Amino acid sequence: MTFFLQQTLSGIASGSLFAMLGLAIVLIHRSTGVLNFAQGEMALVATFVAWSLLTWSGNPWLATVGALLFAGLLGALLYYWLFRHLQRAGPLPQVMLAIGVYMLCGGALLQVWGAEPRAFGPFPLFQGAPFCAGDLCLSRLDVATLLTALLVMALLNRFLRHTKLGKALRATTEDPLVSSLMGIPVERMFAIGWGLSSAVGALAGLLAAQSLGLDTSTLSAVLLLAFAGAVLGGLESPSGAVIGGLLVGVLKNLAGAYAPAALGNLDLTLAFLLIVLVLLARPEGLLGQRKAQKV
Amino acid sequence: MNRTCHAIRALWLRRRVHGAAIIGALLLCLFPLLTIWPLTHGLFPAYRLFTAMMFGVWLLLTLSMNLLIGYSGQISLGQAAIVLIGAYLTAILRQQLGLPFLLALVLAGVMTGIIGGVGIGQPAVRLRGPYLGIATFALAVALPQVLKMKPLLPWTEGVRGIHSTPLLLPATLANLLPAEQWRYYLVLLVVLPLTLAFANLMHARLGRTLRALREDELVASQMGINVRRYKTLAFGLSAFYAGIGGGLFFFVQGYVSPDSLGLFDSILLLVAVVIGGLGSVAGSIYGALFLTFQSEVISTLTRWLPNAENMGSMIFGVLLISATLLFPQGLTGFSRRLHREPR
Repeated sequence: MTFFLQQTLSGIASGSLFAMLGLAIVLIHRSTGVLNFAQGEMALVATFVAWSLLTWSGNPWLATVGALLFAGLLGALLYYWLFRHLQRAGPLPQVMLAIGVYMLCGGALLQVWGAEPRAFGPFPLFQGAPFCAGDLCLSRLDVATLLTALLVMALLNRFLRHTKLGKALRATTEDPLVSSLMGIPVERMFAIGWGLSSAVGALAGLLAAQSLGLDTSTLSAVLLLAFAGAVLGGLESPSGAVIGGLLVGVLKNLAGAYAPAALGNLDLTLAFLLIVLVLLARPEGLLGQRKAQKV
Repeated sequence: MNRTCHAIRALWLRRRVHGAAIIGALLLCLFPLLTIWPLTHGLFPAYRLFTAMMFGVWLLLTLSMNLLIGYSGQISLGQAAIVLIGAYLTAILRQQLGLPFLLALVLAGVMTGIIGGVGIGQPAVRLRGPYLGIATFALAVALPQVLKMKPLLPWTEGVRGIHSTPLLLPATLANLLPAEQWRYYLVLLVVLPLTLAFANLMHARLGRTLRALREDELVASQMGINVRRYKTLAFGLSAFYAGIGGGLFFFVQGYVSPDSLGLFDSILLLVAVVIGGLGSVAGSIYGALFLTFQSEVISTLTRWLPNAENMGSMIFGVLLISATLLFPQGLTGFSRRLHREPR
């Protein structure tokens, strides 16, 4: 039983990383309709910027704030330079564009920072003895990641539902034409959506790099599972992304722990099998709403 | 019955045959001679035969990808996994069960087609856009793990992969031409008819139906198109081409392992098809040329630029971005615009 609980707990710990990155994916999909495959690489660029700032100044707060600002700017610029031109082109060209950005960012990372792994964190705040209850333990970093994910989720929910800016963002996604007639600056809204989501992604990158180590492929596995989690949650609401991400983390860990060793390593396979089955039963994800099709 | 006859005729009767296509086909048939003939031997060293065979493999794969993305408007992020299935089925049928190569290839292609049609085409009726993307993605992630599973070891040989044994030729044929050239003609024998059949099918009822589905599924279903049947057909046919391509990949490379083709190859296929041109056979040919020569071009670049290997993915990124933004029709659209050919 303790084994099961400990496995579930560490599943939640790794799942909170998927949840964080999933939040970024959902935010951008929610506010601009783009499925951003470049989310992981964009976050990684920001994390490397944080690494450079940290080695230069030695101050983790400066590095964090700097990386978040950089990420926000990067997201907004990518929108103005690239995605703005394909706003009405439908999902397929936008996916291609996102994959293009993914490859460009990946290449740029190799070019600027190189392929060797870097030491990054954990920040002094997250060092120290793990939190334990009986035999079950969670490191401070894991607790911080989970709390950050929940906090960002709550803030985003509040932002999207109760602030004027958030409502404007939602209106723009719903119908850009009508929103522009209502006086909402549509392009600025999209740029804000991109910047915000890129910053949330960078936060995920910063936390992931402290627990997984920093190199150019740190986030590729995280991105895969974050996508799975976000889609599982329905790509609609921040809560869905977090629930989906945590669920994927737990599923993957339990599948790895309980699949018979005679079969070999099957954690990803079983996790994805479950996700596909869930999607077949509920094609709009767990928290998604079925939309009536316009004719 | 009448419909079946119609479908079979559509495979072979083409309304307009381009002169360029005939000349190209002839050149391909004579190509091995160029590597022997003293005058052209310098221009086409013997290893170009391998390049040409790989071009044939890539062509089948870009056709299969284009069928999904370009003609039917379905996203697939796991096409390389389907190719890997085809390669493994061919390898198992030939090496472990001892079937002759062509029989193994055809069987593997048909089996991959069924797997693709039923396994992906059926869910695709329910899953749309991103959700379908994730499902195909899942396949690509899971397949290497499945191939390394311990109970499957006698068939797949795990991480080591399967090596192919040389082609056994009757003595009369073996004396006529070197083995490498026979391999080339075998690849040509498979790729050329399949490409022609593809071009014709896409001009016939099937192609028109798929394009109708791509433009608007709801309208198409109101016109009496059976969405489920045609999506299954699209995914099945695409998987058939991918499976045959995979079998040839195994044959040409002489080897297949769980990591022979991965996520990056799925993405590279996508890039190639977009750069070449969505929804056209010529576009697939450009895409296949891109896939054949990309690594060569990049390693040539390393001579001038010290870090060019790292820049490979940057260059692809820039190509993909500029293709989507500037030439939504890819190279085919670009050349059409140059010639002002009415569409």
